[in-house]
Parts: sequence; C-alpha cells; structure tokens
Amino acid sequence: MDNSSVPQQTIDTITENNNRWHRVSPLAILYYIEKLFVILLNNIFYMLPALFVLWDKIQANPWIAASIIGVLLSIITFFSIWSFVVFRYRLSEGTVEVKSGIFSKKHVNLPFNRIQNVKIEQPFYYRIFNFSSMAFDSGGSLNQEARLIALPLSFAKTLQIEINEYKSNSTNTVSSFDVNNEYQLDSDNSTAASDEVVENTRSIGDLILHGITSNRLYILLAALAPFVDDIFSFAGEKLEGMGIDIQAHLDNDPAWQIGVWAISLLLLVIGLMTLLSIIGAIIMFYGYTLSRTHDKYIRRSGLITKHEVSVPLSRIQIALMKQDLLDIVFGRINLRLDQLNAQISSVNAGGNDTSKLLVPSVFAYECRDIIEHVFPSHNLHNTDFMAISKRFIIRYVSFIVIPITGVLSYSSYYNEGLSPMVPIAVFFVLAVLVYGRWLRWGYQINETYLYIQKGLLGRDKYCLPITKIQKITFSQSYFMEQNKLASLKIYLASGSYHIPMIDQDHAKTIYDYVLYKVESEAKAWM
Amino acid sequence: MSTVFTNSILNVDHSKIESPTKTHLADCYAMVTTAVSITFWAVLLMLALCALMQPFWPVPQSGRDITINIIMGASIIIGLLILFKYFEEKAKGYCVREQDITLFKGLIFKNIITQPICRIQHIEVKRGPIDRKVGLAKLHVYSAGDISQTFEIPGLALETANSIRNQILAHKEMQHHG
Repeated sequence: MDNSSVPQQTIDTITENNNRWHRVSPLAILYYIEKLFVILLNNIFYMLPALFVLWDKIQANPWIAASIIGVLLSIITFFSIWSFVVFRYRLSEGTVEVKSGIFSKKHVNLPFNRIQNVKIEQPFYYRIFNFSSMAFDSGGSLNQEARLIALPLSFAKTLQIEINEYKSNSTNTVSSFDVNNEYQLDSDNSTAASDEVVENTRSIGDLILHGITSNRLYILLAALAPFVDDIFSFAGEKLEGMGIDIQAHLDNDPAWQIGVWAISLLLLVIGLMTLLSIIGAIIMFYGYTLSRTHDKYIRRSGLITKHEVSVPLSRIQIALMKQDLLDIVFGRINLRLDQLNAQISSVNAGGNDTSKLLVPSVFAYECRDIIEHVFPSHNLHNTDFMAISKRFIIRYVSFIVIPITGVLSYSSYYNEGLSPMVPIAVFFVLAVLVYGRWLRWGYQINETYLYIQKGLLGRDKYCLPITKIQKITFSQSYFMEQNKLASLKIYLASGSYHIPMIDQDHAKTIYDYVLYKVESEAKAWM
Repeated sequence: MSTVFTNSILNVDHSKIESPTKTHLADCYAMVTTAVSITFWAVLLMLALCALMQPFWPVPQSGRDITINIIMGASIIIGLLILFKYFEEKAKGYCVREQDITLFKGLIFKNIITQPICRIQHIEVKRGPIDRKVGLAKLHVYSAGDISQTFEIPGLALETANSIRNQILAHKEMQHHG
C-alpha cells in the first residue's frame, strides 16, 4: 500500500480518492494511547486495594515496579501503533467505510443518509496540529458507530458539510443549507452552516455555579460515614508519624478549640471538593455555546478536549429539567435533551456526558425557550402536576421501611451496643424521605405532551412527546387492584419512564389515549 | 391516510377501539416450561448428591449433614418457586389488535404491555430445541430504546406465531406506502 497521506481539504479530493482505502495520520497513535490509558486508569480504580496491600513490597523493590510500568507503557504503545496500522477508511459515493480492530476485526459501512449524528472532537493533543476525530452514529445499535480518527480539522468540517448536503439532497427536501466552504482554520471562532444561531452561552460564573451545585459532596460524605472511625484512626497514625499527637491534643485542649478544629477541617474538605467540582465543570463546559440551525442543535464546549455534538431536533426524544437541592436554592436548572438510548450510552461511556445535549445551570425562562424549539408550545416550566396516590407512602413504609426497622429493632434487642433509639430514628427518617418522595411525584397530560415530575431533595421534570412513545405498560399489583390504582411505564427511544400508583381509570385513559395518538398519527419518532 | 382510525381486535368485526382482551397461550406451554425447569433442578440436585456421596474425596460427616439440610431447604424453596412460575406462565396471554400487540403477564403484579405496530423495528419468530419438539415458537418484537425490555410472546403454536408475524409485516407495508 502506498503511503497515502491524509487527503487535503477540498470536497474534490473526497470524491477523487474514491474507492481507495486510506490510512489516517500517525497522530492516531496518540488517540489510541489515550484510549488505552483511560481504560487502564478506569481499571486501576479497582486495583487500588491490591496496590495498597502491596505497597510495602513495591517500596522495597522500586525497580521491579518501574519495569512493570515500563512494560505496561510499551504494551500500550505497541497496541496503539498496531491499531493505527490496521485502521483504514474509505469514502466513496455516499458512504463511509471503516476497517479497524486487531483481534476482532470490524468493518463498518455507513451510508451518509443513515448517519444521524456527526461529532467532531478535538482532544488537546490534536489541537496543536489542528487535527480532529470524527464520530458518526447511525441511530441504530451501538456497534454501528464509525469513527474516523486523526483527520485535519478542515477536512473533517468539509466532510461534515458534504454529509449534511448529501442527506438533504437525498431526501429531496429543499435545503436551506447555504453551504459555506470557506472555513477559518483556527477552531476557536469557526462557524458552521450559515443559518446557525447561537442560542445560549455559559459564562465562567455560570460554570462555577454549576460546579458548586453539581457537587456530589453530600453523597460522598454519606458514603464515608460508616468509615469515619477508620479514617480518623488512620489519619491519627499518619499525623503521629509526622510528630503530631492527636490524642494528646484531644485530652488536653479545651473543647471549644477541638470544635473549631473539627469545623475548620470539615470546611477545608468541603472547600476542596467544591473546588474540584468547579474545576471539573470548567474543563468540561469551558466556552459553552449551544447553537441552533433550522433542524439541529449544536453544542460546543471543552477546555482541554473540545467537543462538538450536533443533534437533529427530530431525534430528541425527551426534555428533562434536572435540579439538585442546591440548584433549587440558586434557582438554576440543568437542561438535558436526550436522544436515542440515552440511558444505555451513558452507562457505556462511563457516565461522561460530553456526548449529551446538556445545558448546565440555566434559568427557567432559558429552558423554556430552548425546549420550545424542540417541543413547540410545551408547558414544562409551569405545569400543575397532579399528585399520585397517598398509598405510595403506605406501600413503601410497609414494604421497605418497616422491614428495615424490624431487623434493626431485632438486633438492638439482642445486641447491647445498639441503642433502641436507633431503629426509631431510622424509621422516622426513612418515613420522612418516603413522604418527601411522594410529595415530589407528579404527572400531567395534555393533547401532545406527558409531563412527569419526581425527585426527593432535588426535582426532575420530564416532558415526553406522546407521538414519540414506543410502547406502554399498564401494571397493577393485587393490592393496587383492590384500591383501584395502577402504574404506567412509558418507553421512549431514550429510555423508560415510570408513573407509579395513580387512579386506575385515569391510568387507563392515559394508556388508551397514548396508544390512540401514536397509532392514529403514526408520526416519525426520529 | 384519511381513513377512520380503528383499533379493534383482529378477526372480530367492529369498527371502534376495543380494550385488548387476553388470548391464552398454547395449552402445553406452561406444562412444558415447568417440566423443563423441574428437569434442570432435578439434574442439579442429582449432581449435588453425587458430589456429596462420591467415595473419592469423602466429605466429613458434619459437613455432609449441613449440606444435606441446605439442599433440602433449597429444594423446598425452588419447588415452591416452580409451582408459582407454573401459574404465572399459565396466566400469560396476548392480544393482537389492528394497530398494536399486547402482552399480559404477571400473577401478583399484573402487567399489560402494549406495543404499537407502527413502532416495531423488526420481528422474529424464535424456536429453541424444546420449542421445536413440542411445536411451539416465541415471537420477539423489537422497538427502539430499552434493550433490556424486549417484547416477547412465548408459547405460541408455530402457525399462530407465523400468522401474527405476517399480519404485522403486512401492516408495516401499509405504513410505508400509505
């Protein structure tokens, strides 16, 4: 095979080089190294306990540890180079084909008009050379995704436009796409097709606020609570090693002083965690712009790796306004517009939401306007939700809270160490939580949309377009039947959504109406 | 399509929306699945007993007693579960209407799952070795979204499964050209 360097810039070369397999630039090796590194790092998390146990041995034999790391690194490099060598792509009339894989060979053949989504990513190591990687996905199963790694940015942009053009021609719709072939090469102020309007931008202030509100600190603290003793004794030993005797201070210093220390320590930890969260938010959302063309939303953001996600409006399945407790305090909302298989792909991507259409920490009116373009005349921001049945509380208290309390009381009865106050306190706390959960649950339906609200401390509001519903489940347990209640589960292409324990007749009406609407209109859901 | 929207149960003459009514699965289905699971657990039980009684690595007496108790307890629980499962399988049913296909399942938690035909992406008739032996088939219906929740009607006579499949495919044709 001749050394086919990456074709330059113009569309002509795309069609000129028909039917020939191309290699990408050797920069792709960097991409593979990064990918393998991420896999390694993700798994190191599970190896940490082992590392911890072996720490002494590692310290005793640093050369062995270093050589293991060296071998690991060279394996990573070797496989990255190999992956690059076997990677081939071909652009022929209206299709992109990609061959890749070392052990399991993969050949993806993706016609342009089946491509739903074109994503251009610029990791930091590509930005130096003005390169990018392109991901296409077809809206089908996940393994039908094709990725062209290491293309010059300008080439990627031209290809993106060509694909869009091809799609609008092949569907015979008159395209209002005025294609602009002249691209500025510096990625910072590149604009795409001419009808693009910037819908929303996020300032650093917004991102800082997002960092604060999306902080999962309290969850971490709750998870750490059972280990407080271990942590303190561990920290005590370490400090003692550094010549600070905690125990002596605890015994000798006045109580107020210890209290001040404890509080300042706590504040320090909270501050550090919040800072990390803010840094995370800024890295992910720096320079955030959400822009809109006549048929899609485009999200660009990222400090180190620039992400660009474009999602056709028709592909959006659900609008979701998420608020954590702190978001409610600050009056901000995280808006998410989920597309196909949002729940599954978020699991696959390890919970990273760079590929999602997410607008961090916006005000309600901005939410309303952004959703308005996708779901016209929706009323998600000020819907009067109808409560679900109070039997929800009875169900969860009797099937979850009471058994837990029962087990606790039993063990406190036979175990001197456990005060009888514990089960009582646990019972009340859990019962209040169940009550709060009930308070948040709500649903509402109109001709075109189904609204759901749920949450506990936070509040999530969902707007489901009825014509996009894939299937629906009507379910009833024996007790619910006795009390004339029923639950509904609604499936969209983005996942499933649940309305528990509402009036049986009302559930039946919604069930019938949804089916009627979906089947009689038979509108496209994508 | 400007025709009047109808969604009556197929093979019944009505031109209005009817609630889906349950058609039961093939008679032998619940028996067959129960027989299969009884056989599976019986084989497992035999294997466990053989492992316990084999003369090559003798199990100490105390360990043997405990294991036998555990096996007996587990057998009772599994037996009850199999019995429950039998009635659950017997309670399953389906309904094919003009515009959608419905699955009824559950004994304590009753679920009515309805899949509009216009949302079906593809449809498969599947038959395992046991299904082939007794002349049954499963109908798998796929739509977009939650992969974990595939819509599957088990225990259909092969002709029934094929005819439902053909009806749905015919409907899809209409959708595409209409």
